[in-house]
Order: sequence, then structure tokens, then C-alpha cells
Amino acid sequence: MWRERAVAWPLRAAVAVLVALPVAVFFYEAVRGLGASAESGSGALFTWALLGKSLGLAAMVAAIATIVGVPAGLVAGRLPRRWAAVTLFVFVLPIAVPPSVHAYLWRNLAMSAGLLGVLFVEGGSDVVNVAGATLSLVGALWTIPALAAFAVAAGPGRRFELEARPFVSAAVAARKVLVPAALPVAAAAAGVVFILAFADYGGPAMWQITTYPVQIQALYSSFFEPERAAAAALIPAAVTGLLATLVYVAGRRAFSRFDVEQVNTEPDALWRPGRGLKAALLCVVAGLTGVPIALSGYWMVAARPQIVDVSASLSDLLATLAIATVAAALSCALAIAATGAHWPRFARWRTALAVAALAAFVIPPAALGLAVKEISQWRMVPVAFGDTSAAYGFALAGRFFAVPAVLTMLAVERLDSRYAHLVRTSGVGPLRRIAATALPVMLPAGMAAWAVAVVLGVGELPIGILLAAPGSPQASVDLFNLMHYARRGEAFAVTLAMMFGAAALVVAVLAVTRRLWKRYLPTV
Amino acid sequence: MEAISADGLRKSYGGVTILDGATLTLEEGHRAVIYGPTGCGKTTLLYILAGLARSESGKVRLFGAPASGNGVFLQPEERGLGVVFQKAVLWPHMTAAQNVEFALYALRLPRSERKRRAMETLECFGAADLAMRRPETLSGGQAQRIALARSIAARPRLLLWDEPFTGLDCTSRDAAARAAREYMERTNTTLLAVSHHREDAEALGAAVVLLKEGRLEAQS
Repeated sequence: MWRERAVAWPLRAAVAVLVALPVAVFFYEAVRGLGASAESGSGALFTWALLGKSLGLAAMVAAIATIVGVPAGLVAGRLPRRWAAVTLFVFVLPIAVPPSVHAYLWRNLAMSAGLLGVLFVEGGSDVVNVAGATLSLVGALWTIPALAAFAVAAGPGRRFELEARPFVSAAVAARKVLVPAALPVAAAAAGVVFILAFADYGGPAMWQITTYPVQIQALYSSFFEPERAAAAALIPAAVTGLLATLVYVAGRRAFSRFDVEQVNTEPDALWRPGRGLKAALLCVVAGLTGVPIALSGYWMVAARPQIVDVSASLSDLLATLAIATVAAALSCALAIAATGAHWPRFARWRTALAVAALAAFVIPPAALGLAVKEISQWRMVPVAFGDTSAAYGFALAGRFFAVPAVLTMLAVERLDSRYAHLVRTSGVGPLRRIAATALPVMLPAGMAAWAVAVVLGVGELPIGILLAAPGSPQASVDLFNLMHYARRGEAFAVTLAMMFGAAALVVAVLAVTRRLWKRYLPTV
Repeated sequence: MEAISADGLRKSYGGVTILDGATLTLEEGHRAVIYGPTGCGKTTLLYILAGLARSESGKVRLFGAPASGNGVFLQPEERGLGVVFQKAVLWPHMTAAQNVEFALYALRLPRSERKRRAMETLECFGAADLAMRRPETLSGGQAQRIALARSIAARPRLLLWDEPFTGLDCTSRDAAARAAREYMERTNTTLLAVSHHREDAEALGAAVVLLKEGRLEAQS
């Protein structure tokens, strides 16, 4: 027993430093901010209009992304193997760049079409701005529900449908069994889209819409009121926290239902999409993902003569990718070790770790960045922490620690605890017990989480704005600046490099993960 | 009448021949259990008979009507079968009773009649008390009993069961086998099951057929 505690306590301390400390600093700053008086012009921290606008935009994005993404994912999951793999890659592309890039693309397109010259006045027509922001965020996030539905259609959905085939036709089995089976996952994915849209700064900012992330950023950058910025983040943190809890519960339930034996069936035994549905999928992919990619390529080529030097931006992208990779690896390693050390005993500690991880995730990224910036200025903290990319990497690791923490926990909870007791009775120590039982189950989940954390980390904007090391801007900040100064050629070159680089990395990791974890991942 | 008449079935996966001219005849109302080592093609044979896999050659006739071969291929739902798959899975968005009711979907019965028949079938396997339970709250054995009930709900003339008693303890297995046997004798239903365990055949009062190297051999 003492050996298990000796392993568990340092890991608890590490999690506390990575996630609990910034969360505590955030709350401390927020409480101070609630009592602070407003500087001239910074206005009220809370208004119903701001809450309504932020919630409305996120809800609209989540609804449209789910309505479009879930059918697209179900159809894609039943395409022939090669096309399904291509679609999977295409689905990762839009998530690999921050929503601000999508906003920039759609805004450019609207301007090229002469739409904005007539309708768009900065700070003017809310209808155009809200529609533009919605389209941009849908374009950036619609593939999250699509990927979730794809995973069901190509994975456990096949087994559920097979069970129905002796009784009903393939079309009825798809309608009555496959689609309802995918709904809990679709609901969880809609929740994730809502959270990401609600926390996004770049998309609404590009379309001149003031939502909570824009207000928080403005309170810090324009009025330099960090405490009030933290206080303004309390409401969005509460909303996101509530939703994240619901997503966690729904995800956990869906995950437990999908623990079914995979089957090898012949393709024509199950439902296959007809030509109409395939054409609809092609239209959706072409409209929401193909158009931005094609336009990026076209504008990059068209602006080639004005491109001065793209190498600096590409080297920033590589540096960001490296930092995001290391930060994600750190959070995944810690999540795997901490979850393994608390399994099968210490269930309450496991819950506490998940709550701490989710707390760091639900705080708006700008507020978390501010908390880490505050920590970097403490006397006991070496100056190098704030002056290098360490603070930025630390904030990324803390923000996305929730992804591996939750996924590894879901994975290990499917494992029968008798394995651990069996190993323990043979006198094996805690480290070897984790390595022999929990690690093989958690490792693939950790790898998948690592890929997700890298992609989200590369595109993270507010943390980059606040914490990027002097002289080496983070890639999405670099991109934001390129867009701001209308250097379209360089901006689109970086966009395409970011999109394809991150997507290739994710698909490669998923391919390896699938080999390790065939039981749970989709059969493509 | 012959319930199943399969002739010269061949099937291979990745260059490995699983079934090599397998031939099987089973009279209506009879019961047989195919027995054989793991990977010998028992499940593949069941899938071909159910229309969930296509054989490379050979033909299948069910109750005298062609089901596959010679350019004919009947879809699984057109064959009038009740199937229990290996490690059966219940649909997670339905209760146990709804799972059984869904097997009656194609019969277009009134809802009240579907419910009545679902409950009657559950009672047959001593699972009426599980009717309102969700699949995730059921043990492996309980879920298996629901899957058995589901397979007979539409009163098919032919049952194809793959490892039907997985997850059931000895007492539950004997009870389920007794109930199934009584039902099949009462309704003159034909059964072809696949099992690793010879005692399953005894419990079901079925003949044993050995599948060895892709061919079927009758056993005493």
C-alpha cells in the first residue's frame, strides 16, 4: 500500500502544479477583478446582451455543425475503404487551422464577391457579421460531429446493424439502429463544438462580433485590466463547465455502450449510401472544406509576386509544432501515469484529477493564459520561464491535459479491475503492475489524445498572443498578424502548410493507434 | 421437406480456404449442432446460410426455395430466419422488450400485438422481469437470454444460432436449452447451431455435425 501511495503522491502534485495552480490563480484574479472599478471605456463585465450573443452564436454553430456533420460522417463511414480513408483525412483538415483562418477566408471571399463592399461596414450590420462568423465557425468545426459519426458508422455501428439484418432491410436497419446508436455520440460532439465555438476568439473578432473571448482579450490588451479580464471569464467558465460535465457524462455513457466485438462482414450485407447521399457528401465537403482550400491555393499563387519571405513564418510554424508536440506529450504522459497510478484503487482521486483537468479546460484560454502569465512573474519562478516558450508550453499542456485525462480514464474504466488484483497478488510492485495491466489499454487512448492536443495547441490563439516568447511569435499569432497586415500570399501559404502538416500528423498517429487498439476504433 | 439444403459451398479469406465444398442437409423440424475447432469455418457457414456472406461457389436452398447460387441471392431479411450471433449484442438505445419487439418490425403488426408477443417470448426464456431494463444494466447471461428471445420472436421456421449459450452458467444454460427445445418441438422449428461444446447439443437434443478442414461430417 505505501508503495502505491509513494507513486501516486508525486503525480498528484504534478497535476496540481500543471492544472490546479493556474485555475486557483485565475479564481484569485477573478475575485479581485469583481471588486475592481472599471477604467474609462472598458464598460460592464456582464451584460445579458453579451451573454445572449455569445451563447446564441455558439448554439447556432453547434446545431448547424451537427446537422451537417453527422449525416456526412455516417455516409463517409460506409464508403469503400480507400474513399473512407481519404474522407477521414479531409475531415481532419479544417480542424488543423484556427477558426480565425476560416473567418479570414470567408471574409476575403465575401469581399471578392463584392458582398462586403455593399453590406459590410466594420462594426455595422450585425446580420452579415453574425452570418459570416457562424459560417466561419461551422466551416472550422463541422467535422468534429462528422468524425464522431464516422467512428460509429465504421465501428460499433456495423455490429449493431448486423444484429438487425436478419429481421429488416439494410435501409431500415440503418434508419432504426445505426442512426439512433450514433445520437449520443453526436450529442457529445455537438457539446464539444459548442465549447470550442463559445471559447473562440479569432472567428468572432474577424467578423467584428463582441463575444466573451473578444471582451476578455480587449479588457487585457486594450485596457490592460487583467483582473477584470479574469472576472469577465467567470460566466463563460461556468457555462462551459456545465456543458463539459454534460459532454463527459454523455461521452462516458456512449463509450460504455460501444464496447462490442467487431465483426468482419461483407460490405453489401450492411447499409451502403446511394449515389444521392454520396453526391450530397461531396457537396458538403466541397462547400465547407474544398472551397477554403482551393481559395487558399488560388490566392497564394495569385499573390506570389508580393510574397516577400515565407521562411520566417514557416520556421515559426515548425517551432510552434515542436512546442505543441512536447506540451501534448507531457500532458499525455502525466495523464497516463496519474490515471494508471490511481487504478483500480483511489477512485475518488481519479475523479478529482478529471475535475481539475476539466476545470483548466473550461476556463477561457485567454484567462488561463493570463493566469500563467501571472505565475511567470512570481519571484520564485525563474525569469527564463516567462522569457522563453516554457510558459506558453506550460499553458498549452495545462489547457489540453483534459483530453488525455478523460480519454485514458474512459479507457481504463473498461478494464476489469480483477486484472490488477491478480497482478498484485503475485507480489508485483505498482509500477510494473501499471505497465502490465493499465498501460496497454491507456496507451492508444493517450496517443489519440496526443494527436488531438497537438492540433488544438498549434491553432490556439489567445494563449499564443499572451505568452509567446519575445521575438518568436507562435504560428497562429503569426498568421493572425499576416492576415491583419493583408499579406495574403504568406498567410495562405502558412495556412496550407499548417492544415496539411497537422492533418498528416494526426492521420499517421491514428493509423498507429488503430493497430494498437483495433477493438475500439473504426474499421475503415 | 428439407429446411436447409446446402451444396458444394466454398469460401476463402485472404487465400486461405475456410469452406471447401461443404454440403449439408437438414430436415424441417430437426435440430443439429455444428461442432469443430476454432477457425474451422462454423460461423462462416452460418453467415452464408443467413445471407450475410456470399459463397464463391455452391448453392443454398431453404425450405425448397433457392436462397443463393445460380444467380439468385435472397437478402437476409427475406430468408425468414432467427439468428443469434456469437457474443450477441443488444441495441443500446432500446430496452430489452423493445429489442425483442424490433424483431417483429417487418411483420407490420399493431403495436399492442408486438408488445404482447415480445413479452410472451421473454417469458419463454424466463426474462420477463428484464423487459424494461436497458442493455448496459444487464449481465452477459441476461443479455444472451434476451438475444435468444429476440431470435424467435417473429416465429421463424429456421433458427441459426452461433454459440447460443455463451455467458450462461450451467443452470441457466439448461433452463434456456429446455425452453428453446420445448418451443421448437411445439412449433416444429428447425435449428442449426454452432458450438464449441458438445453438451450444448445434448441440452438441445440435437444431432452433432463435425466441421473439419472445410467439410461437414455427420457424427453419432
